[in-house]
Amino acid sequence: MSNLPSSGHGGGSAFADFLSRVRPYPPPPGFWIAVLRALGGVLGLIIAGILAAALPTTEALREHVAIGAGEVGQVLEVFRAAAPAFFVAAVAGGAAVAVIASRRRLGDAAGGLLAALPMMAMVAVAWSVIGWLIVVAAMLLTLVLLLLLFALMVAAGLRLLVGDFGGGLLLLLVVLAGASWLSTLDSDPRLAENPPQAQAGGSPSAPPAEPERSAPAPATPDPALTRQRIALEARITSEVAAWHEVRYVPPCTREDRRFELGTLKEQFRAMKRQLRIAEREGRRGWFDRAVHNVEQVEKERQRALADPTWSYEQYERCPSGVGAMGYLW
Amino acid sequence: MHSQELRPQADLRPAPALRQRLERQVFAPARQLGEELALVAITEPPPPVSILHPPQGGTWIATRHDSDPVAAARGALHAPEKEIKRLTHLQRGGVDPDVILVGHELRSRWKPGDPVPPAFLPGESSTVGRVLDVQAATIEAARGLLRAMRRIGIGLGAAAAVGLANLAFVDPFVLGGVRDPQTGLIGWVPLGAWDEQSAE
Repeated sequence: MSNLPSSGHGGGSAFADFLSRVRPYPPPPGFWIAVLRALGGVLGLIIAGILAAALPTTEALREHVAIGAGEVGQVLEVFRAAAPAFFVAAVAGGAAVAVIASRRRLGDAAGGLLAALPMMAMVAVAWSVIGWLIVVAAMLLTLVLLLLLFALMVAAGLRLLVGDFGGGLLLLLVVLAGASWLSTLDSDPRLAENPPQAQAGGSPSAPPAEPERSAPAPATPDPALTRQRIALEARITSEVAAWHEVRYVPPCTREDRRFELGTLKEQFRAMKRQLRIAEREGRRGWFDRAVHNVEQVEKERQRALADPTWSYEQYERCPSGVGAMGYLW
Repeated sequence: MHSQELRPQADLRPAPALRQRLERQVFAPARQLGEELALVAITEPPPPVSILHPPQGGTWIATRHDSDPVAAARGALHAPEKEIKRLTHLQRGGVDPDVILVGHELRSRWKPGDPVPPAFLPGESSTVGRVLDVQAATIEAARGLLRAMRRIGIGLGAAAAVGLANLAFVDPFVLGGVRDPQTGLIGWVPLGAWDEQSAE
C-alpha cells in the first residue's frame, strides 16, 4: 500500500533532501534589459557631466564672443555648476545598479531606481546641451556682427571706387564706429598681457604698466583708491571738455571730429566703469594704466592745439584721443 | 501515476502513535523556533505524482519532492529566498517530516510530457514590466520630445493594469507528512506556501 520506503528516507532526511533541491526564483523576463538600460543612464550622466564641466568660463568666452560675454559667462556658471552633481549621481547610480544586478532581485525601490536613471540622464544631457547651445548662439552672434562689418567695409570700398565719396566715407565711419564699439564691449584689462593697437593708427607712447595679478577683493574699498578714482574722474571730465577746443582742419572733417569725440567719450566711460570695479577689488595696476592713458590723451590734445596738422603729418590720421591711448577700455 | 484528490479534513483525530510522532518530529521543534504548525489532513500514502483537472480548468499537481515533474521541467523547485531561509531554519531546528509533498497549479490542462511554462515571482514580474515601460518611454522621449509626456502616461497606466491582472495565479504549497507506524496513514502539516506567476 505504501509508496514510501519503510525506513522513510533511505537513511537521509526528506526535508534536507527537499531543501537541497530548492532554488531561488530566476529574475523575470526583461530584468537584464532593465539593468542594461539603467547602465545606459549611468553612462549618460557621465557624458552630461563632462559636457557641463567643459563649458567655457567667462574669461575664455571673451576671446570668442564680442557681445555679452560677461552675461553669458554668468549663465554658463549655473550650467557648469551641475557637473559635479551629475558625476555623483552617476557613481551612486552605478553602484546601486551593480548591487541590484548581483542580487538578481527587483523590489519596488530598486525598480524605481532603474526606471529613474535613464530619465535623469536624459534631463542631464539636455541641460548640458542647452548650455552649449547658448555658447554657440553667442559665438554666432559675434560672427554675424563681424561679417556685417566686413560687408559694410566692402560696400564702402565699392562706393569709393564708383566716385561716391560721401556715401563711401559714411559707410567707413559706420564700420569704424562699429569696430570700435565691438572692441570696447566686455574688455577686461586683467586679461591683457599685450594690449591691442589703437584704432586710428599706432601710438607713440610707451607701453603702460602691467596690471596686478588678481588678489582677493578687500571687504571695503581702500580710501586711497577711492580718492584716486574721484580725482581721475574729475580729470577725465575736464579732458573731455577740453577736447572740444581742438580744431579739425582739412583733410579732417566735421564727421571725423564728431566720431573722434564720440569714441573718446565712450572710452572714458568704460574707463570709469573699470575704475569702480578696480576700486572695489583693490586692483591698483588698473589705476596706473588709467592715469597713463589720460596723460597720453592730454599730450595728444596739447599737440593738436599747438598744431592741428601735426597728427596728420606724423601718423596720417586726424587728432585722436583714443588713438593716443596705449590700451582700449 | 494516479489521479487522486487531497482534501483538508474537518474532524481530525490522529491515532496516539501518529500524534506522538507528529509532536516529536514536527510540532515540538517548530514551537521552539516560534512557529505554530498544525495538522490539516490524514490520508493514505499518496502516489509519487497525483494530477487533478478541476472543473473550472487548469491542472493541480501534488507530488513527492523527489518526483516533481514541474521542478524537473524547470530545472529546480523555485521558492522565494525568504521562504527558503525559513524552511532551512525549520529543518536545522529539528523539524523532520517523513515525506515532503509539493503542490503546483498550472493554468492550462497539463499532462505528463507537456512543456511546463517557467515561473517567476509575481511582484517582480509586474515591477520589471513597469520599469521597462518607463525606460522605453524615456528613450522615446529622447527621440521625440513632443510625444514624450503622453507616452509615459499611457505606458505607466497600461503596465499597472497588466500587473494587477497578472496577480490571479498559482500557489505552490509544501506539506510535511509524518507516517503512522501502525496504520501507515500520513498526517500532513503545511510547511510553506507562496505565490508565483507562470509565464503562460
